[in-house]
Amino acid sequence: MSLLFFLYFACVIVVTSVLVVALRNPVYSALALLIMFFHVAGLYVTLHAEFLAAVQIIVYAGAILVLYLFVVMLLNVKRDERYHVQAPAAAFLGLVLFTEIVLLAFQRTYQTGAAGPPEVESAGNTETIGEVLYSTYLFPFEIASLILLVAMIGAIILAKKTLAEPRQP
Amino acid sequence: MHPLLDTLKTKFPEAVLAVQEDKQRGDLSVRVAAPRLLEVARFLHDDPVAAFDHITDICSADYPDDQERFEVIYHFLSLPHGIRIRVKARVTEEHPVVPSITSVWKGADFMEREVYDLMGIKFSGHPDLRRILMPEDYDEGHPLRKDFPAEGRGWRSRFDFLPRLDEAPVAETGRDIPEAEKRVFRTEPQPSSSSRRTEELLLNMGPQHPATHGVLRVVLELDGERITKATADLGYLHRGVEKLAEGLAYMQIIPHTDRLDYVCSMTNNYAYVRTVEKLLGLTIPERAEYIRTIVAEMQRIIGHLFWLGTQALDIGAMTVFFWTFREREVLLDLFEKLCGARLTLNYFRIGGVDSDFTPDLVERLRAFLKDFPAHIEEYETLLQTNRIWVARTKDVAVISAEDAINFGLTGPVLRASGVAYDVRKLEPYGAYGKVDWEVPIGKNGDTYDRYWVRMEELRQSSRIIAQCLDQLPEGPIVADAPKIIPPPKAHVMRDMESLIHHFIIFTQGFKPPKGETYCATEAPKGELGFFIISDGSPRPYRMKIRAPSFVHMGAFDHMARGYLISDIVTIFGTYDIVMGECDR
Amino acid sequence: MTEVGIKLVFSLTQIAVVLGIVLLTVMILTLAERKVLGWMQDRMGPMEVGPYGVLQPIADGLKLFFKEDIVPAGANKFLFSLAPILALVPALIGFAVIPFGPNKTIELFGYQFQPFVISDINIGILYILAFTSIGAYGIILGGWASNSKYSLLGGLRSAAQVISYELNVGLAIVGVLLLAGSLSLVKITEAQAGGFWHWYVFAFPFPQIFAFVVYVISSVAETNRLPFDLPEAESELVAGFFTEYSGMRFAFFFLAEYANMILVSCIAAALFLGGWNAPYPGTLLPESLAWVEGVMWFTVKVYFFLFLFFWLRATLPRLRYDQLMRFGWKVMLPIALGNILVTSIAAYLFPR
Repeated sequence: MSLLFFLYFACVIVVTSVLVVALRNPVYSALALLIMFFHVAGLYVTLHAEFLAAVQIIVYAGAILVLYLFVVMLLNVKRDERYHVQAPAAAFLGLVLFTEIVLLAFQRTYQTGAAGPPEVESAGNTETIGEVLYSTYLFPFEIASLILLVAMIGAIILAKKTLAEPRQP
Repeated sequence: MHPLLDTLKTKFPEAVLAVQEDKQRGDLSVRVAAPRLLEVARFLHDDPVAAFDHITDICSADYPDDQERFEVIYHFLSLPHGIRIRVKARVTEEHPVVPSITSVWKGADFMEREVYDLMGIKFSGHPDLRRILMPEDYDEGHPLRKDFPAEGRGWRSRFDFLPRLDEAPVAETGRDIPEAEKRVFRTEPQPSSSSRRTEELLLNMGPQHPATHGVLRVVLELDGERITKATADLGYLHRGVEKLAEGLAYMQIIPHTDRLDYVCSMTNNYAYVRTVEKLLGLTIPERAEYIRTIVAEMQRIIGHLFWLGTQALDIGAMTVFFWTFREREVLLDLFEKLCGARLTLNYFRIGGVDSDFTPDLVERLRAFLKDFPAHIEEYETLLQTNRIWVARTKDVAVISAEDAINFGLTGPVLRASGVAYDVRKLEPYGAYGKVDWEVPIGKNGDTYDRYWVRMEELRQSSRIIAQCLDQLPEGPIVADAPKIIPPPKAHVMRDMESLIHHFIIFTQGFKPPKGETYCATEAPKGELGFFIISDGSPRPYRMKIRAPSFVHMGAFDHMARGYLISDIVTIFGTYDIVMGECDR
Repeated sequence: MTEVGIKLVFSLTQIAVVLGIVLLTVMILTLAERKVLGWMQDRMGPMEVGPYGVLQPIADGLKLFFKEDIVPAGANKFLFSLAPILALVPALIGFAVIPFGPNKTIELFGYQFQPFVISDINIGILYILAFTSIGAYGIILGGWASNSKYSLLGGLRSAAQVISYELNVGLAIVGVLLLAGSLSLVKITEAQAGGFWHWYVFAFPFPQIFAFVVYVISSVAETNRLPFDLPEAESELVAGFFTEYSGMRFAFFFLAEYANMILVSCIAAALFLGGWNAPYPGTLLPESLAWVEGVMWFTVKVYFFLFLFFWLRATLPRLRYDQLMRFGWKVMLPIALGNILVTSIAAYLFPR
């Protein structure tokens, strides 16, 4: 049963990822990406990481992708009729990746069924993440928030124009 | 001779060709040589003895039999001294050029464009001389000229913007508008302070749009959310009332004036009828004056209630709209009882009014007045101190007093900027001089002040009506001037003299004396003035309507710049524009 | 396999019932809004169809159903049709985790199921937040697909408004989560049992009244209702992102707005006002019928919030867009953050 779900999610993820780069209309690509995010969240749910699934949708699909769409629409990016062909670079990278995958496949055995990390059912996914995030990984957490703050300030400074004052009486 | 006229004659001996003081009508007029017009105008504006800071109107007249065919007529008002003056200049057909006075009065912009559009007189030095009421590409001529026919010439089949039913519709999508067409609507490119190239968006609002009050087209140039230029495109409701009037007898024009400011149509009647009575030198009976004042104030209440409802609706407070229209219904029912109509009332007659007040009407009016202050309170609880309303209206569309006077604004728009100019106090007419009332004056000239001024005017109007009802004398409602005013039907069927007068008045029309006059009335929207040139015939030689909405549209660009696009609806509403009188 | 089958049938029935009730409520709301607004504006509202106008929603539905399907020239047909669906589906999906009545478990055909909540997942509220954030897509795509400057501007502004206030909604809820200790709506409503002084809006250690106010105001903004409906105001940019929509597609946007309203009202009732709990401890009705009381109290609270939505629409003018954003970021957000701070200190000092 769970294998069925995994196969479904995995197939859709692969197909939509390819569509993101293959479709010519940028808004369609963004929608394909949205579908992909949903199915990644589905994968998380099969791994009992439901908090992560919800956060994936809230943050990635609900905020980041929305901003991608804003940019696409505001810049009025049109359909790209040309098909970009970069054969040499694509061939090289493809070869490298293929070799990697083959090596990985023959080095480990697959495990059917979601073995996954040790079950912490009693505490629930959210509590576990919270405990770990705020104790062991506190420092990276604060650094991440600082980086985001810097990015926000940078964006505001870059985008800020000196507007004319609205007329005073 | 008026001292001002003497000063002018001495200061500009060659420029000033003739002066005239019409003592009976209280008009001053000056004839000036066209090339020297700008200096005289500047003198009239700047000199403290004259101080004509307010521009009232610019119009034109066509005398095809004269060598100098066209006459441009300017009306100015001096607010400090409270006098009006008329300046006239003549030009020939071969060289119809007059210097533009837009450098002195900004309000002359739209007015001169209208003169150019309808008469074909060019103004040198005008920043943007294009047609205003007729379409941009109208090449059939200038409609107000005497050689332009009043009936059509069968053009309709050749208008290219009308769809032809026998042709397939043109598929027109995503057509790119050429840059040359867009240039009219853009501001001049600034020497760019930033290195980034910003592309401004041109947004077209109208002519069909729920928020523009009537058929008004505005092209906004936007920089992000801010408006950098607002170009108004008028003329969608232009019906040629002024041209029509040249072919109608004086009495027949009254229903046409109804259709100007159709929200408060009796006011237009009043303004027109007063001008004709001024031209004739007719005095009207007491009772008629009181009745006229009462209905004029009822119209003011109606007009302001309409304005309040629509402005609140545009800003989002829907409930106020329904409440004001509830009050309006009561008044419209009273009007129906009085003259049979609700919208285009056609109640005033030259020399009086059409029908008398019945005691029942007076009772109902008194009952309305008793409840009305409570209703005004009701509107105010929803709006006056509401933080969202205040945030939406304070400091929005601010216009300073000097700018307002320079643009020629009048009415509540001017009074909200702090200028105490009300035609009813400056040149009292009707019963306004006999009752006790005040003129509310604002401070900042923003939307909130205009709102406040109009609310206060509602209260003052109730006050005026109440006092007039108390003082209402008995008497006739129409003046007794048999050669001008048709006798009552009952007499016509019995008395030979009445029959003759009736016959002459209705077949030929009465003949007013030769002359010209301008008369201003305080309409709810501003100063509504009529300028009539009479050549002694039963039809006016030229009738010019000084519509407050048209003049206010001239200041629209100035008022809208720098505000957000969300403020545009607020700005439309605060001006209280009705396209019927803007386009005529 | 039969277990899966039977559970599937249970769930499908539950879903059908809940969806049916929600859609029926949406229909009732269209009429209720017009009636309530009418009475506040000194008029009667729809009165023609049916006695006192009660059949008006059916007439509206029929009209929208039979309207001509107009797709503007140059519009992207796929996206144009997709946008209303993307607006409606997330609004309806959120109802899967809301408890409509007490948390009973009944036994049918040998399998247990909870009749009053479709699915009690342990990330309940997070699930709802996730899907309301998808609702923004419907708006953006609706504005974009109409191929009109007006609609695009309206759509982008509306989407920016929605994501800004989403943040405030999330933060306002955190205070309640701190006090309840769980993300599951069922557990949160259970924790408020016993009487109205246990409801989180009044509860010790720190009454969530500020969070409640922030939540209500932000949810009005989320659903694009007056006073925050600038992007779709009739007189501003001609109804903004759904200018070009007519017929069934317009009906979908309309339904989505009302379904969203009902969803946020249900959440407000569940999180702050104790859900299906009565204001008094215990139940009036005998034990076997106690669920009737629970469901009834839940309905009353939800309708109270819906009435609040209508009341706000009748009374207040519209906020301008920059004022709206300023209000969300500079006023609501600090209050929500402050509330979290104080609540966490209070929860630490007075643990459950």
